[in-house]
Amino acid sequence: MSKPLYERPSLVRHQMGMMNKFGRVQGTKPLTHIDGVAVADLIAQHGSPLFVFSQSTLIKRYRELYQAFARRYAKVRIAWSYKTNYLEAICRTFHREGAWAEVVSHFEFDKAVLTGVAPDHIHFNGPNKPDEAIEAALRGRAMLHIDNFDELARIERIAERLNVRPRVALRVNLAVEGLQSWSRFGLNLESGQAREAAVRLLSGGKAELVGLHCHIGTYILEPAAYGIAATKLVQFANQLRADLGVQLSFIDVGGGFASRNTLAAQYLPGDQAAPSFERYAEAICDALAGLDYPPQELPTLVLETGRALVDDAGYLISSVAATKRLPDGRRGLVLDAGVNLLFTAFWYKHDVLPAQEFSGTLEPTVMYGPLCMNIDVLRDTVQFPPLSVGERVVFRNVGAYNVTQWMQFITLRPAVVLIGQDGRVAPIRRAEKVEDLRSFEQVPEWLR
Amino acid sequence: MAALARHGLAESRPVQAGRAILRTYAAVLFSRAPFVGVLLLLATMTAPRALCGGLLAVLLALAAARLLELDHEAVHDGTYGASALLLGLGIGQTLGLSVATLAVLSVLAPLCVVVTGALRSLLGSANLPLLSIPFLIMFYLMLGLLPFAGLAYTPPPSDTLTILPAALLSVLRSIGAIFFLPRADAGALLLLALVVHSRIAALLAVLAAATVFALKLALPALADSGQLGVLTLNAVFTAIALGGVWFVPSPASLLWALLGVLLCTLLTLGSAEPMYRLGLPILIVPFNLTVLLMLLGSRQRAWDRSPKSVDFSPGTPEENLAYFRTRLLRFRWLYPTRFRVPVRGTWICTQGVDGALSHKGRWRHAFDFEVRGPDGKLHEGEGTSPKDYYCYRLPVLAAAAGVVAKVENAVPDNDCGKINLQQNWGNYVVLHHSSGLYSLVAHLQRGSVKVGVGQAVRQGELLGLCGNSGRSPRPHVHFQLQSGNRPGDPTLPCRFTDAVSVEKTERVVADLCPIEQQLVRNLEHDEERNAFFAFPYRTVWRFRIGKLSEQIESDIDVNGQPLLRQSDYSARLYYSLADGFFTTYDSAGATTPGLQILRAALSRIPLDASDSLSWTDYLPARPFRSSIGRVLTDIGSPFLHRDGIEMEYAMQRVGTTLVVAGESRSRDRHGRPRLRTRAELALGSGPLRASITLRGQTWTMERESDRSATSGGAPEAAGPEAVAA
Repeated sequence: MSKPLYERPSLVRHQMGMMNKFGRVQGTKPLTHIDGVAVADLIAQHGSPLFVFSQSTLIKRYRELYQAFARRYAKVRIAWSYKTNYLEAICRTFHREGAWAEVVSHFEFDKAVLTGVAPDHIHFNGPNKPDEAIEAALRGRAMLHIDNFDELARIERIAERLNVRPRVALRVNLAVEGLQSWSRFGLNLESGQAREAAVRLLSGGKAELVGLHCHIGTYILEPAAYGIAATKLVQFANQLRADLGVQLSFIDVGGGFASRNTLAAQYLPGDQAAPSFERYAEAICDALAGLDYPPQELPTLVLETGRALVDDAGYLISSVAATKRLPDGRRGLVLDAGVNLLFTAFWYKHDVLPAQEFSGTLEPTVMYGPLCMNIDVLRDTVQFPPLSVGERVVFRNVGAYNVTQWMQFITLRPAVVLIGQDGRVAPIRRAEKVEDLRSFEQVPEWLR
Repeated sequence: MAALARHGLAESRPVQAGRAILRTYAAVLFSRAPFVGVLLLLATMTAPRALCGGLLAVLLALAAARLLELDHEAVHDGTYGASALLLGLGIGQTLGLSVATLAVLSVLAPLCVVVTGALRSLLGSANLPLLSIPFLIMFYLMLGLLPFAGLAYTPPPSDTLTILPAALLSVLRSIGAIFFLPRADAGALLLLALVVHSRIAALLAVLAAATVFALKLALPALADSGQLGVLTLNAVFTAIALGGVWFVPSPASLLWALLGVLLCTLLTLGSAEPMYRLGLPILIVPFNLTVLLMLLGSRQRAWDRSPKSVDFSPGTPEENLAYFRTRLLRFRWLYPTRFRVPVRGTWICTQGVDGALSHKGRWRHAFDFEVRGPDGKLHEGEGTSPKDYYCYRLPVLAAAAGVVAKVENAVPDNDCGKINLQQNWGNYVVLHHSSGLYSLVAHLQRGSVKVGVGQAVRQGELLGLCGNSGRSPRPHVHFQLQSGNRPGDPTLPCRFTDAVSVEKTERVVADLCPIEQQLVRNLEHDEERNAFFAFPYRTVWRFRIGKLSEQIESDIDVNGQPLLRQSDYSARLYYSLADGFFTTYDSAGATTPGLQILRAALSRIPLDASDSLSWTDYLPARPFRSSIGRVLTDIGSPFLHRDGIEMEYAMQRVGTTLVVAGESRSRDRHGRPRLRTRAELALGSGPLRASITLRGQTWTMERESDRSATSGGAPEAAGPEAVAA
């Protein structure tokens, strides 16, 4: 180092540097490179802010998940949860690894088909499936997960009209001690509603019941909860087989595995609290061992893991637009990315690191976004080194939900790039332009 | 692929009937080729009596077989007509043509069909060939009937050729005698037919004739016995049948044929005189007797190896050889039991055969398996506790079906780094597979063993969980095959059948012997891949191949074996959908362009959902040689070491179709693969498109339309598959 770095003066109260209410002391090392590509180069080429995805991480996580289950259960399938991230490059990466698609709307269904997914490799989920969506799914022989009785009746009617025999699954909700029941989705197991639906389907004879589906919630930190849910599903499956002769071809335990992010109210940091795939796999597969099926006819275990697969692979690079000292002594950073891009900042304490070498002491810092809105806070108090205008920070583990839930609000949305396994960088979504937005709009004649 | 150009459109009835007639002629020489039939028919034209008698007998026999509704394919194959043909030739040549002879023939030829059917039932159940026994029965019957019919023996006129040396003429005449045509010109045509049919058969015929000639030199009395002609005839047929038709051609089969020729000689010399006294000419009795005796005798061997009997549906000797060779290359199993990797998912072999740690001496054939995590390490964290290891508590499965012979379940798990030398194997399960063949999995977790002694387990059934008991410093699965039921009995060589070696890509290895650091997994049966090959039965697909069109029917035969059939040609392509593979076998009977393309393009396909799999299979090289190349290689082929095209296949699901592409390992001088194949299949409705590219020329078959194959011709109600398609 030839010339010492400029160090911004600051006044800080001494405190213990270990775990505290702000989380762990972090940012001790800057994140200057993502998968070997310099953050500075990425910004120079693609502008700031910028979403970056690591393909190696996507593939690594996918294989980790698949193998954790495949070593314990004979037939495993991962259906990529489109709503988590439906950028085509991301989806293609998973589909190449063998993933099917899990969609929850007609739009997602069409997008999956356009991405090249065979329609019969799509699990179609969700509480609202309009007639046209059902028709498209039936024509493509997609797997329809029935959410309610009205939908069941509509599927039967449409199937009859199209003269097809659809393959359907029942979405089931059930009580797991310690978790809030997601009773709004699917048919209740304990009340007998799910069984009634099965009987209803069989007596109707117009559709083939091939699967059970249950999604106990999201960001579940306790693998045992899956064990309980899977045990209940297994009991139900055994009952269906023994009483009604239903031979299931899959059991879908949904998604909801925790990623390495830290929830806002969570004490332990996510990378310590989140169980490994191995532990989820053990809980679920131990329960599946109770299936009363001959080995060759075991139903496939379907996983709709979204967040835990993609979160780690996503980064958001943002630049410091301004710095200020708040009246309470904290430092304020105004960044060029806010909650419009990092929607998940509402519930996570996102892991954030400076993107360049720094010196100086860490001090409590608030990170604000660029919106002229009071809610636009990305991190409320994080121990962070002093940064200057133009310097950059990197938010890690932001791959899930952000590039689907982000808003075009006040500013335009930035580009997204993918770093390939060989280190090549390619944009997978270009930055928005004003013309893009204007092209949606129409001006009535009397205003022209 | 010369055959490709020859075959024409789906055929009219007269063409089919014509071919059935020619095949009947060819069947006398164990052939199915219509062209061979043409040559034989030409040979009978040298004598009008033979031509008329033979043709009349064949027509009557085929008509009778049709009226009786006998097995369509066997009729078209010539099986039912062959004996009647011989009978017709025999009657024509020995009795001359008269109203009476024709009447006798008209009665006997249809009866001969019935006798053929009866013998097929009788001998077929013992898996023995018919040979010419029906002919012999009917011919002897006819001889007995002669006085009643007022007929008498009128010897056929001989030829008057004198241009050729006398020795050669006599050889040709004795060959002609096969068809009751002791004429040199007929003999020459028969010889030509034999060479066209099979070079190996010709070689065997020469060998037999030479042996008889040598015997004649050694035993001058033989030359005077008057049996030389009939002996040569019987010897030639015996040599062809034993050396190439019912046994796979090899040096061993040549010796076997020689032994048959000797037995045949003894039978001829020994029985000619007594039979003559009974008023019966010996005809082709020694051949029939010898072949049946040698076939039945060979079945008492402990190993059906050299010579290898033809345990598949026989073709020409060349086809038998090619089929058997490729079968050896394709399906390599060390034991009748096939073993799979005893775990689920991808594991790493951490010690293989002759490993550095403990797989030595009597215990050399053993494997240790562990799991490598995403970071490449075998454990999380420090690896100080068994719990840290990825493989700990993972299911351990039965590598093959068997009966539990011994179990230990109470040995405590060690801490990492500690070993238990008192209970070396820790918790283990020994399975008994067949006599002298046991498998052992060891070092399981205490209390995790789920099976008990005497329990029958299926392949893939859970035995216990991976643990760290016994002589095991860290959790791993130890697997070995052994000759006894106690752990520690001497190990036996082990290969995992159709296991996948995982590197950057995945390769299916027919007989995998994992080495250290190799990642392995089993093929995982995928219902959907299976559905691509679950062809709806009794459906006819019409394909267009260039300007031609070919109908292929998907069907099941009486034995429950699925096949693709081209009825017009009696061509059948058998396949199986079992053991995690779709496998086509070599086509039985004739072949057609369509079946040949499908055979190559859909050779063998693992029913695993992974699109990154590649695998090797072998195609018989013979059908892909040029006609000249084929003739040149045929004679030498029994003595060559191997003969097959090594193909490399891969598959990918594209939309709703599955694409299987293959290319040969061997390259031409431009570096391109010599043979390329490609097939596209639709889910639930079979192949849509297939092509092969050989020496720069491509043949493509494209599906045009389907219909249900019902006898009434009315289309069946469309099944659910049809609706889905």
